[in-house]
Formats: sequence, C-alpha cells, structure tokens
Amino acid sequence: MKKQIFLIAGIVIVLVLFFGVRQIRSLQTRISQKTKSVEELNAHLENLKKLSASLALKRLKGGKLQEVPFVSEPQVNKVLLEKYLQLVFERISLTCKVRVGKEKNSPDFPSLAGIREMPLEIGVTNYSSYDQLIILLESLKEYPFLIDLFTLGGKDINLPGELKLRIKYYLTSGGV
Amino acid sequence: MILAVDWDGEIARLILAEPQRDTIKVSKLLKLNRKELTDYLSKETRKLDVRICGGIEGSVHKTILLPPLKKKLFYEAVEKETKKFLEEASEYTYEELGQAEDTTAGIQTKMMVACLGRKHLEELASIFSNYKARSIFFTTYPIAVRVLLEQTEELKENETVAFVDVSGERSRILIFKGKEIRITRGLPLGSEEGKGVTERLIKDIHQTILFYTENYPRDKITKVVLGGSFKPSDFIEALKKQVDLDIIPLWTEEVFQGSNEELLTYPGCLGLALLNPKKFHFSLVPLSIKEREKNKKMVTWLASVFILVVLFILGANLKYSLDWLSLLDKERAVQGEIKKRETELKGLAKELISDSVEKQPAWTEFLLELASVIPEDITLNSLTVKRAGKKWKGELTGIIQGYDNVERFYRAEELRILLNQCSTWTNPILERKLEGDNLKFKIDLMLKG
Repeated sequence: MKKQIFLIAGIVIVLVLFFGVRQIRSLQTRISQKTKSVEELNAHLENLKKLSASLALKRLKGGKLQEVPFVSEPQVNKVLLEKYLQLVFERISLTCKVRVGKEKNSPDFPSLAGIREMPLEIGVTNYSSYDQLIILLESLKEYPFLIDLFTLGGKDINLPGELKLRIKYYLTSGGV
Repeated sequence: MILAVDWDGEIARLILAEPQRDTIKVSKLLKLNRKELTDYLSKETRKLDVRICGGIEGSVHKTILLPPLKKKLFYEAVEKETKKFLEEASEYTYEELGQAEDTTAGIQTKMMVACLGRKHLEELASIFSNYKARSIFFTTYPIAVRVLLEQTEELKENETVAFVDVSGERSRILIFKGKEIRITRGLPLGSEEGKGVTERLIKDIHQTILFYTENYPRDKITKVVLGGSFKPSDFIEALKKQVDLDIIPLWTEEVFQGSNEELLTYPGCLGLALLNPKKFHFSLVPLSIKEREKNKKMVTWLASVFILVVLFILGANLKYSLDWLSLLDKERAVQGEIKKRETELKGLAKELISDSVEKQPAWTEFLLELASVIPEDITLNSLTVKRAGKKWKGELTGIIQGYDNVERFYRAEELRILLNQCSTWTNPILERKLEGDNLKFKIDLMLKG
C-alpha cells in the first residue's frame, strides 16, 4: 500500500515535470517566434526610417513629377488619362490604343500613405524603331507611371500592335 | 520537560522532570498500569521529551571482545557476535568500552552490547504511538540505572558495584563493573514457604553476589547501593549481615531538588532524566518507528522533489512569461513607431511615388546594351520585360539561322558568354532548341534596379 502511494506520488511528480517542461518548451518556441517577428518589425522600421529620411531629403531638393489634371469624377478622369497618354505618345509619333482600369488602393505602398493606382494597358499600333521605345520608356519616368510590363512582339497584353505596355498611374488624394 | 518512564512489563513508574541550572526538578511521580498510562498520555497536551526504559525481561547486556579491524569490518563483526546470543529478533545497540586489559589474544576492543526484544520494544512503542512527543527514545533499565549511578558518583571506572532496586515482588539487582553491565536479575527469584519477601530478597541478593564471585573470582564487589523502598535500619542491617559488604542507600539530593524517599523508588526514571541524549549510545529504535521514520523521510524527500519541481516549473514559467510580456511590449512599441513613420509617409506620398518611379531600371542603358550585344545575324522574335515584386525580369526569344548545326550552337554559346558580361542585367539563362535548320533560343535575365 505504502509502496503504491509512493509510486503514485513519483508518477505525479514525473507527470508534473513532463507537462511543466512541455509548457516551458511551448513558451520558449512562442518567444523565439515572437523574437523573430519583432526583429522583422525592427528591420521594417529601419527601412521606413531610411525611406522617410530619403523622401524628406527629396522634398528639400525639389523636382516634381508631371501630373495629369484630374477632376473629381472618376469616369471623366479615365478619359482624361487616356487622352493625356495618347498625347504623350503622339509627341514621339506613336499612335496607341489605351485601356484604363479601375482606380484602387496601390499595394505597392504602405496603406497609410493613401496612394492609389490606375492600371493601364497600351498597344502601340505604329511602332517602327527601337529608338522610339527608348524615348518612350524614359519619358514615362517624368510622370507618376510605373512600368509593370512592356513587350515587343510578346502576347501578354490583348491589344493590337507590336509594342505593348502595362503601366500603373499613381495618384494621391491631393494629386501627384 | 522530560517524561521518564520505567516500564517493567506491567507497571510503569513515571516521573516528570525539568532540568534546572545544576539540578533537576521532579514535579510528578506516578506508578501506573498500562491502561492508566494510556489514559494519562491521552490527557497530556504538552509536547514532552519522552525517555523510556524497558524492564530486565527481554533485555540482554553482553560484553564482547574483538580484534582490531577496519571500521566497517569491526561493526560487521559486532553485529555478527551480537546475533549469536540473541534468541529472538531484537533491536540492539553498542558502546565501545576501550581496550581489554588481560587478554592472551593481543590487543582487543571491549564492546558492550545492549539488546531489547523487538516484541518488547514494539509493545513499549505501541503505548506511546498515539502521543505526539517532542522527542522519544527507548533504552534498557540497566543502562538507565548505570547513568544514575555514574551521575551520583556511586559507580566509578573499574569499580564493581551491585545495585538493588528494592520494590517488593518487583525488586531487581544489577551488578556493574565500571561501565560494563555484568548481571541483571529480577528478585525475588522464587517463592519459599515460611519466609517473607524481605528475607527472600536478602537471600537472593546474597546468592546473586555469590554467583557473581564464582563467575568472576578475580573481581570483588566493593559495595551494594540500595534504591527503592525499604526500612533503612532493619533491611540494611540484615543485608549487611548476610552479604558482608558496604551497603549504601542511594543519595540523590545533590542531583535532584527536594529528593525524598519516594523519589528513590524510581531509579530507572531518575537515570533517564539524567542522561544526555547527545552523548548517549544506547538509544534503541523500535522497528515500527524506524519504518515510520523511513516513510517520513520518503514523504519529505518526495515532497521536497515535488516542491523543487513545482518551483522550477513556476520559476521557468515566470521567467519566460516576463520575457514574453517584455517582447509584447517591445512589439507594441515597434508597431507604434512603424505606424508613426507610415503616417509621416502620408505627408510624403508624392515623394514616395517619385522614389518608386525613379527606382525603375535604367531603360535606355538596358535597351542600348541589349542592342549592342545581339549580333546582326541573330534575329530577335520578342522582348518582354515584366515586373516581379521589386525586380524586373526580362525574356528574349529569337532564332539563329543559316550555318550548320555545330556553328549554330557555337553562335548561341557565344551569345550566352556576351550576355554574361553585360552590366545592366544579371543571371542570364539561355535555353536552346534545334528546329529544322534553325536554332531557337530563349534568354531569361534579371534587370538591375
């Protein structure tokens, strides 16, 4: 009887130790995961600090991107953007067909920055020289456009023409 | 407070004694049977130091001689020798009395062993099993008397002294040679018609002394110390006449406060009250108490282990919980800072867009380098540049015409080497496929941002 009691007490101790150690290990694992996540957050914060400093410097230096004069009506803005782009292309003697997508929050920036984007697909119907492509891509950099894709002879975009582009137009609530 | 009990198997003589600076104050003297003793203990609420001595019956005291041995072997030999003279299962203990004086076997160590039958000891222990004492130990009556005689200076080293506890039918005689207990007997030894208890006692004391003299012819008893209840003049004179030795009544006044005749009838209890437990070798522990102590130790050990385990788990949990909380705080702080920075970015949205636009690859350099690398005899079918996250991937397809197959592969390999040397992209991967007379190729590359 006494032996059994001592045996049970021994088993209880072993069980307490087993479950206790398991709980400690689980805590250790959670802590290690959290430490990693905090480290990632720290790295993100550091990047943000650097970005913020560099942007502040950029502001001081000046130099603005050209912007499309938008109005408050989204449908009108679509047309405005389409026409504006056609004008830009015409300057380098390119005729294009523009398809403007729906305005949405841009996933390329932190959501708090409140930057929106309008996706655009362009098919150039009278592309004739490599130089035109070079000039086009460089001139797009003067506007808040980001090139997602461009192709010569590719079939990624369903629009007529040899040269095709998929670009994003970024805009803020106060305009670019 | 000491509760000293002398249990002779039927009657317990009991005293309550309190050690003072130089003496001992005895506050209670009782003679109780078993039931009365149990009742007394059940009413005793104080936690006392209990000292108990068992009667002569069931106890054995022997002196053994052993050659010099290593400690472990020595005690093994003591145990072996002790078991030889034990008739029943007994608890025993021993004391080293020094070296034997007159031996032909060289230097030998004298050991006195005191044993008490296990049954007798358990019976004693059972009387006290329900009483919660502060401390408790058991010994034998002769050992307790030896302590008394030593403390009252009636027994000196190498002196042979007989002690008679005169107590009617419960009288006892003990003969000591220094620390050695040589004879223990209950008196009177038998009933004899026509003679009173006193006469029989005197005769038996005399016979015991004669028996001792026969067994130890070289040894002479120097005196007989009397304890117990007797009429001094009659008994002492009659005994002196019979044994022809000095008869000395026990004198305890220097040791016990207010010593009186009644106190002398408790010699075993007085010895128990006088002994120093720290220097005492003859403490016998009943098996049941040993078992109880063993269980207590085991329980203590298990409880200690349990507490240690729980403390370890709690400590570790506390430490990791604090670490966890500190991490949560840190995370909250970093998240707050990130939110703050992101809010700042809201005011810098235009710069953010400008930064993003500027980080696009240098399209002019890329297209010019590509044009310079592709040889004139290689026809490009398509060029596609696609954004993948923060990078831009390029894909070129084309065809190598003319030449023989070996030359076509050679041209393709040349193209791969040229592509590898360019600065506006990295990691070009060339795939080739021969189709009829043409070699079709595809180049994947990663533009530098």
